Amino acid sequence: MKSILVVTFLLTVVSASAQPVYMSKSGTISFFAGTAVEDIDATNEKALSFFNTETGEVVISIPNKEFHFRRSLMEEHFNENYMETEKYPKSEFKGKINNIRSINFTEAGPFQASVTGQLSIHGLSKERTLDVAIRKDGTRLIAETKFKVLLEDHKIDRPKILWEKIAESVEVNANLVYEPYKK
Amino acid sequence: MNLTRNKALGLLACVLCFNQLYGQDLDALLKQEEGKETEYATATFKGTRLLNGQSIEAPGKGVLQVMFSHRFGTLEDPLYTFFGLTQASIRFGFDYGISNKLSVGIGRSSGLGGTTPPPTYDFSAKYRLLTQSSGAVNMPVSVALFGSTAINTVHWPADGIERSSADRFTYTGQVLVARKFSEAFSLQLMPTYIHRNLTDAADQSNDLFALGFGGRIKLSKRATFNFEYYLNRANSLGAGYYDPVAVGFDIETGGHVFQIMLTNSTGLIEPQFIGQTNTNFWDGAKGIRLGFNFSRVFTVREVKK
Repeated sequence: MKSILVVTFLLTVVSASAQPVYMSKSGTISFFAGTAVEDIDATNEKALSFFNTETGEVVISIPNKEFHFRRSLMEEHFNENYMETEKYPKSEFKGKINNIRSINFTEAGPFQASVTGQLSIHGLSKERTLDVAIRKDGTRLIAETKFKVLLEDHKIDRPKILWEKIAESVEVNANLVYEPYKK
Repeated sequence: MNLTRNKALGLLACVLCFNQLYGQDLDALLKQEEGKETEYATATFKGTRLLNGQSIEAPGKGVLQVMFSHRFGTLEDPLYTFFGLTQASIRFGFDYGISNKLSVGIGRSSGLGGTTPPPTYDFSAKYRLLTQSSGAVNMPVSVALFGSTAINTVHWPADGIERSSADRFTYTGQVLVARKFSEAFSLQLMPTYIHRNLTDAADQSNDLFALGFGGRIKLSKRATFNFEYYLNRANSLGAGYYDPVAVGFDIETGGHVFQIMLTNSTGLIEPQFIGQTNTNFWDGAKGIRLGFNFSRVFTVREVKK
């Protein structure tokens, strides 16, 4: 009898806390660092992210080597000279939705979230607050944001030589597609 | 009662599992999922050549590499010959990446004084078989296959000896095995087979088997120190010929890689520097010469995204 009580109690606990963890594996992170002289852009489709709809916690991990350019030489220079991907293999973001209390993800949406956290690139992290648009697509949550990264903030060298023109600030576009996380 | 208890324990275990999933923090989940990805090694070497010989690297898809190489005279009388720069063997070549795995090359070399090594055209292909990786797919080394055919176009001397056009052909096959141990340190092994239809002298083998080895130490983002040695089977080279040795630096500036080296060989393609190096590195200035490779890459076709 006692054990049945325990089971009932535990079951209540579990059903009360529906799975709030979402994972994005098929997101797209792209950036544009070009100037009038040269188009420099790259896309990464290997970003990995977890997102807790109850606490508003977000973590994003981007393998830097997976940024692909139209020119393989640019890609090599990005890895070897600017991002130093061997030393700093991942770019990361770890933060929390500030207005999580006013968002109910069981509603239809769309939602406007303001996310504050640490953006870590090239081994240096900086606190950032980003505006993120989140919409629903069936069981999926699609998050989109756009922001700028100053190379100087993360001590990324800009080449001094004339024939490689890289902008001082890089425009980043992120599009993450979250699905309920199943172990 | 006993049965119920067992069931209850089973359920409890189940619930704990769920709770573990729920309670797990996002960082731990991230780590767990990252373990399912594969990370591939890139830029094991800066250039397509280690120094004299090939590296596992090749121009990427749609990239054309133009390379000029020189080997000068020995350093024996440096002031008179200005460090050997009065003589030079030269090769210019083009390599093109058909895909990220396959590249093809064509080159033309000619020797010091026009005879050693003789004017030669070479046609080559390099194919990347395996790429070093860690994570979900664990591959300890990168492997590339290299093959070339060289055609000696020298005017045969009027010495009464009859030679056929087949005598102009030399073939090279190599397996290049490399491992990037760390950002700063890479090693490569190059088992090599060379077949020469015609040799310079009777005591030379038509078939050469050499074991090349070399590596690089990264000094800064844009410079590395490289070394390379091709060990030939004893008595296969013939009298007066030596194993090629090279030590040097890669200096990369934008689209260029400049390699400057000290070596004992004048040849710029495998059959020449492996089989026909006629000064001894260990003789010092009498056997060592300056050399450089200078390459520039051009993106001919951009990769579609």
